[in-house]
Amino acid sequence: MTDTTAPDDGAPGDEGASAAGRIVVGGSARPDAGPGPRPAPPVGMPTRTDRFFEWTRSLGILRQEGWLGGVCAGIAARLRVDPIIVRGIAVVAAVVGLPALFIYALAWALLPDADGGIPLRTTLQRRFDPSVIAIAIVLIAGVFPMVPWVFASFLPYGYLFDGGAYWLTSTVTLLAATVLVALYILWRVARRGSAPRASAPRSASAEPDAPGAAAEAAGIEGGDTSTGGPAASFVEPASDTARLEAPPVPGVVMQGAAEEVDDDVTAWRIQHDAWRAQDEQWRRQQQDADRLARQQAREEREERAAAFAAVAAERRRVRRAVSPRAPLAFIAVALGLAVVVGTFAALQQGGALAPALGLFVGALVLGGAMVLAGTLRRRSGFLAFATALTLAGGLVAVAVPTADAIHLGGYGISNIGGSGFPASSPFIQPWGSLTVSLDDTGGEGETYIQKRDGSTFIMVMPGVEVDLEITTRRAALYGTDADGDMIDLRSDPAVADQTLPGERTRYSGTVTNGESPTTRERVVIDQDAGYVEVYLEPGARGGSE
Amino acid sequence: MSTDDTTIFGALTEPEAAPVGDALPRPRTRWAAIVWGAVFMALAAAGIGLASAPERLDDVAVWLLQVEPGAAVAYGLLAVGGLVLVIGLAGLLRRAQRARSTSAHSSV
Repeated sequence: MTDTTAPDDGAPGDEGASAAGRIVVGGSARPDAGPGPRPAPPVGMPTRTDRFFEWTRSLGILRQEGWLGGVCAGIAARLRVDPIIVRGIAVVAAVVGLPALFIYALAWALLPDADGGIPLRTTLQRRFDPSVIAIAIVLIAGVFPMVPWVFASFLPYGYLFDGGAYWLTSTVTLLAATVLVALYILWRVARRGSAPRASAPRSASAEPDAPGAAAEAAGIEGGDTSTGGPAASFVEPASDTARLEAPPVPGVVMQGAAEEVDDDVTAWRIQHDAWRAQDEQWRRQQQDADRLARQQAREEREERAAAFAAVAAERRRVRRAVSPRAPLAFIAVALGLAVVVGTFAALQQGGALAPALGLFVGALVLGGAMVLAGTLRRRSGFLAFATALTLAGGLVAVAVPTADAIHLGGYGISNIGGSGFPASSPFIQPWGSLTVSLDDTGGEGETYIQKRDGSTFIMVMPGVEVDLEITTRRAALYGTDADGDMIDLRSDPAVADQTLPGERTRYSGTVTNGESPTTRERVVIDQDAGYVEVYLEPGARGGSE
Repeated sequence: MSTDDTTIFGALTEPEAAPVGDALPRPRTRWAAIVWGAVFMALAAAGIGLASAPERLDDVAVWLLQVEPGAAVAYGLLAVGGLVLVIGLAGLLRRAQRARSTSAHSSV
């Protein structure tokens, strides 16, 4: 008997297990000896499988009465936290796409329950454990990330992670792993199934070929099967049947020996039945004790929860009396008034800033409600939250049209159509990139640009002559010459410069794209810093500056 | 609340300081709410002033063209200073209130 079944130690099951183990051992090694009342337990080294289950047992996580397999409850009991926390984490993990169900199924199969039963171990011992079906279902559900798929079909942008590849890889990997593990388990079960059958005929034989080897083989087998007291009883009948069914080899087995074997079986059966009754009684007692303990624990938990709730309720009562909240009706009135007045103000004004105005008016009303509540000695946390939120909303509602007005980012303008940007309403862009496209419209126009920083590109199309005036402090100015090469306009002799107060310089010149321009444009740029480039669009290049 | 419970849950006995039946202190004036409410109202009024006329947007754009980096930092500092000022003011008022209520209790 190995030490792998701690819960069964000292239980009546030991005796039966020993007896069962001995039948196999004695039967194969010494067919003429009858089964003794308390045979020595077969001594076998614990196999690797046993050591593995010993390890899973040593984790200290016992599956408990839970919603499904009791894994979460077991982990919670081990960590001494509320099971709902562990369940919550598991559910969230499953929802965000982690293989929580898969891990759950593995834990269910590998962790012992309160009685020490491990479903996978039971299955390996060729005993049917109903929970195996449930485990298989959870395992399959865990292999396919169904929850993310549901998310992907309902959300407009799919799942949180980048879809396709991630799922495919994880699904295929998990599926392959599951199939491999299932095949391994099947192989183990099949091998186990064939092992006793190989040794059983030998037990009926009077002349074992190699008693030592057989005993060793059977001993190991016995060590495997008898590691759990009750477990052995379920394995035993298989060898028993095999033994009874195995026909004596004619000419080799003597009649007397066969009768002795029959006596052995009868004696063993009586002993086995007694053991089984005892075992069932012990098992029932264990279950009753467990149930009682669980009930007691539950009652204690409930008591503790009730006490905690009472303390919390008292605390709430005191808090309500000493610092009362503003009544819900008051908050409703304040919110309603804010919405009504704010919306009214926004409708009255209209335009791009109307939402901002409405929100600010609403915030004004809510702020007034806060002051009133404070004066009336009432807490107004929610009102403060609502006011701050409304103010922030108002700021955003101002910022959006403002960003639009200051042309934040990259913009492009042209001399085609529209009223252009005369001196009275220049194109204002404090920061950002601007492209001015000057096309051959056959007319005249002017474009005023005011910038602080950033880059400005003037694209001069063929047939266009541009009268350019750039006022700047430290912007880089570049242009293309007749050959299409870049030149620095600051040092170009064709560009006139005039020093202004405040370290500013005004550069002016004329750019012509083509021999006989039909369009005349005037571009006035006031840009403090950054980069300005005048580019002659290829076609009939040959301008002068 | 029974004594048994309080011995088991020693950490949870705090409310025992104000047991049922004892006269609880009267709710106090919420100065923080008054101060913050006033600040929010002032900000909202400024926002209304800014948003009440569409041409203000262009003014903002022009202002942004002219504001110097140093000035921008100064405005940020102004905002942070104002925030700290309001927090401190609310704290001071609460402190004064607590001091007054303590002295009133001790005199009774």
